[in-house]
Amino acid sequence: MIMVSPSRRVEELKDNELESDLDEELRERYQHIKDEGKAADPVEQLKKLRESADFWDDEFTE
Amino acid sequence: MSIWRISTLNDEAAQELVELFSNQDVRDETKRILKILASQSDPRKPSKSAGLIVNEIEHDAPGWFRVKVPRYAVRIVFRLLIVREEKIIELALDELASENDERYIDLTQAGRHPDIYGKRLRDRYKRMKNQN
Repeated sequence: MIMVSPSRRVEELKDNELESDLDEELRERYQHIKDEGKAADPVEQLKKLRESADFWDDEFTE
Repeated sequence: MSIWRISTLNDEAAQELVELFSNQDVRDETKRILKILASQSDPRKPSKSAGLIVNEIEHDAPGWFRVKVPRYAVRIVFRLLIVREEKIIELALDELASENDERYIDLTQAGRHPDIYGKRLRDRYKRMKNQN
């Protein structure tokens, strides 16, 4: 059984609270970026940079 | 027309911006400011007519800058990145982008004043500098 400390639990609850406040559509679109470019190698970083810019381009032209 | 594109290479910064954008008024005003910033030839030194408040974060994050969204006490920290020959380069203070470079205002932290300054910013700066 994995024990979670009370302070950690409070922290997680706060995080969940924040999460639930987020705009659903934005969160989904953001998650896409997060999943696509996690690796730290230069090629992946460049891919991630451009993808994040595409994401914000869309957001800013709404 | 935008000269620079907004990016968030750092996931935490993206998350912070998304959180700020959960409030429609904050989202609209922050977008307005960032659009003006992106239209500047050098976002580190916007023209006076742009009406932006931009300063370098000299102590906690040298070479990074902060733009204010005064109406909502929002502060956005950014650095300038260019892509040259398929390589990401963080622009040094005295360096300018050239015509052929892809240009990015990479947002590195977003939040309310004064929470974004201090240890949190220093830690992220250190971490992101080490990644380069």
